[in-house]
Amino acid sequence: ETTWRMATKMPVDSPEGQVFEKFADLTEEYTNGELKIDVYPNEQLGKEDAVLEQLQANIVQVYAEGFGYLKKWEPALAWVAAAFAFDDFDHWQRFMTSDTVSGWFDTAAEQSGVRPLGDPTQVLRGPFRVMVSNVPVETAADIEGIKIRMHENKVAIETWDHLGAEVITLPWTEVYQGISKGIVEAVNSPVALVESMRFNEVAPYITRHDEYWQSIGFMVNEEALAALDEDTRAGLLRAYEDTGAYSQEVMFGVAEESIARMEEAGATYTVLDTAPLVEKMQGFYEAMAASGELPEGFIDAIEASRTASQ
Amino acid sequence: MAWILIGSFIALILLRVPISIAIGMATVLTFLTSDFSNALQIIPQQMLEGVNKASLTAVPFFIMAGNLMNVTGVTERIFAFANALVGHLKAGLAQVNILSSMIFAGISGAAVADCAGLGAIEIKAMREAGYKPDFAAAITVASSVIGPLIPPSIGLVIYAFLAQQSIERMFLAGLVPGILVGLALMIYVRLRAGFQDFPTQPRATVREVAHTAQHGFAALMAPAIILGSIMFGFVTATEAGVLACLYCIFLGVWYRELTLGKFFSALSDTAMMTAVIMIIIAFSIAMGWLLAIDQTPQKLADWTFSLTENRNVFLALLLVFIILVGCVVEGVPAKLILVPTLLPLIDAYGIDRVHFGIIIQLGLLIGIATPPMGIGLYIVAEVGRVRFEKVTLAVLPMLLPLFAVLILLTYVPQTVTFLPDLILGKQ
Amino acid sequence: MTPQDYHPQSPLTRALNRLDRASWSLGGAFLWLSNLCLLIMLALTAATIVLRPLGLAAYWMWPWTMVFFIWLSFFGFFALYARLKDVRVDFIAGLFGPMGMAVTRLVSDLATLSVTGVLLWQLPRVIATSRGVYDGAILPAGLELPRLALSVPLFVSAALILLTALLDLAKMAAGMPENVTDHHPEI
Ligand code: NA
Ligand code: NA
Repeated sequence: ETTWRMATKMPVDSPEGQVFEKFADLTEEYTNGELKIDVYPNEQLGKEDAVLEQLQANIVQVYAEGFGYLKKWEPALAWVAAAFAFDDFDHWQRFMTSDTVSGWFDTAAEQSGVRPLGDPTQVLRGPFRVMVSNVPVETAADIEGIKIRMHENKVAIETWDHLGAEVITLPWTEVYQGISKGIVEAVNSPVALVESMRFNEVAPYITRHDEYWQSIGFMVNEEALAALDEDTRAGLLRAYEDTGAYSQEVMFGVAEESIARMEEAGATYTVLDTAPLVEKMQGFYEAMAASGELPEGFIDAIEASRTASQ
Repeated sequence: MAWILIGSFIALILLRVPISIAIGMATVLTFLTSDFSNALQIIPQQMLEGVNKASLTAVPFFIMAGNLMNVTGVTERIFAFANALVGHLKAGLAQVNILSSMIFAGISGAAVADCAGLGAIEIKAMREAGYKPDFAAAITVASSVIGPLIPPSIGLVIYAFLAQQSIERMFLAGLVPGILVGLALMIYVRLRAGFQDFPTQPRATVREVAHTAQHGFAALMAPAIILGSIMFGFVTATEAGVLACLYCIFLGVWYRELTLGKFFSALSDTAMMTAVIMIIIAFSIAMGWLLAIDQTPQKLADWTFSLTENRNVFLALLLVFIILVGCVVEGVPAKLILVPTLLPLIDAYGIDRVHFGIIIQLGLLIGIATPPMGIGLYIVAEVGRVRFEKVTLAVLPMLLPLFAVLILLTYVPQTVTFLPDLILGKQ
Repeated sequence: MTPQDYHPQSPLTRALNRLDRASWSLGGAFLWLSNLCLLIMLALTAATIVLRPLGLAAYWMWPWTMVFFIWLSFFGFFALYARLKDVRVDFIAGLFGPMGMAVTRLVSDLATLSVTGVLLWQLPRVIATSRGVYDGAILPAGLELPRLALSVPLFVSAALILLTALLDLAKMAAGMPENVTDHHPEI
């Protein structure tokens, strides 16, 4: 009988918190109580770098967060959420399970002893991204010249600059005031956060643009995983897969309810055709590949996974 | 585990170990006696986590604003203005002492700048007017409690970060309680002046009031600038602290009182005070990690809940507990240990986190006026040249109005939550 | 009493006093490093307030403000120890007279050695696992500041504090008085 510690950033009562709770419950059930998982929410054990170090040291056994944080062991993993690089979710999923990306995860695991549990796209975050603006955004052309808030990230800034927006950096907590004061007109956000940040009050146009896809990686310590017996490990994996399905259900359910409430309160919800953006970004990625800023094989892997291999 | 932690910390403090080392040693001892004795790398790791907190960058600037006021003569102007307003009342300079602290509180985030800077002026004036030095020092310490309640406040910045509340909300919540403490002390002084003779002063003429108000006006503007710029969202809390510092520097240059030497002395004082606070925070976060991974807060919550489910009884126990801790542990480390530990309980009893924040803030603040860790007592004893024991005795009756306000705030939550709910909306 | 006030009479106390003065000066240097960090924080934040409405605030300003905040705290650790800026409760020790002061002096030094000793003992593990960079803290060459650089001042301060505590034990053995101050900072 083993107890694992699982660290997360999210509060217990958030939708993601519920998903983690479900994972803990299912694991106990599917392993017949052989593996118990204690969840430590709210960054109780520290921020990303600190928790990853604890994961390495096998003090924590699971960390549920974005894969981007693994970039310190394999820089290529900073690119798994590349903006407008994928046609749709399925394309991204094929990319994430390709040999190229698996190779990146292997490199990270060799250095750190930390790797994702199962298919890395199962547990969704967001569950999708939107732009919230105080001017209508109905086509890709509407993005031209829009004053958009960005976090302090070089690639994100260059991306939206390339797409024609006027980028202004602002802390996340200042966005509401920033829009109401006219400092910015728009912000990108996971749909799940729009209502809780009250963005819709000052920016009533909500446009689903699927800027990039995000999943929550269940990163585990390899040693701890290897120490489990076969049945327990199988139960754990089954719990992970069922948690994935549950997360889709919960996240999309929450998003739909939230959108309905915001529409009720006067917001306009649009789904953007992103094909022109994806096309425009190809030039951006090619230029970056040419200057050596992109990981080896990145563009090829995107192209190779563009169509489903039957 | 919690007992080793608190016990060794208090023992080390009483054994004259410097506080930053004492909390470090208590952390090391607790780690060594836990299941994580082979994971000591967590200590330096979590120390980095502890100081790598964006919301805490406001701390040095709210300290610096108070220090700058003291070196630029703004403090004297505040005192002169308060004197013109209430100096003629019974026990006038005692009332001035309290009112000055209320005005000063609007720009300074720590009680030290009040005790050491404003306090030196107040005690000197009161001694010269014929007040007993121990009374003068005592009312100075008691009124310095107002400073970290009225925004800005370092303690509330730290609580906001620990309890995941917005700094704006905590600041608004502290305003009314801070004024209530000031009023309670003023009433206390007035009642005492009813059966005890204190020196009096003539009433200031309208011209004198106007004159000092004109001089003090710039200082009175500062709180409006700080709170206003945060509330209207022009700046973050940290930036508001910087604005306050820039404003003080501007005033110092305007009044031709700020020399380079004075500026650097204020800078050094700020850097050292910040470093003490942040090193304590750094070790406390390491300790907090251990408490979190051991699930101590949940265990404590379950245990307490099994004792009583009555919220009012719990609140009474909580008050006694906080005051006892405040007597032996300084406010910042006490909050860092207690808040994460108590939050599950606070939530379980359905107590508002903002409300609890003000209770713990005032409860621990009272500790600056009680031995053995009554830092305020040490400072006023030093700047007022009074014996420590004499101030300690003189301050005892003044704790009554402080306790009265604390009990009022505890059992009438609206006194705390009304203002933030009105301005920011209910949570 | 500070090292400057002490007048050594023997070669041993003269040597120890010279070391003590060096440690005192080094504490002053670290105090100035802290001051410098604070000034840079002030300047960066002031610049942000002015430049943001103009759309000119650079994205690296905030991360660097955080870096200097961290360094302010860690450089300050040695400064506050060497320059006696920390809080000490001495009245209980005082009740027991010179004996009380001597015993608590020993306890303080031993506690200091243990705490800094543990920190330095863990240094190899910290170096082994600290990977990656501090996001947004870009350096002129376009790279970002390594995460490990954040903790360097902590370990430097810890090492210097350890040496200062050892020095105080040597002073005690040589019958020299302890460095003390009347300073009572608030926290
Ligand atoms: Na006062
Ligand atoms: Na204040």
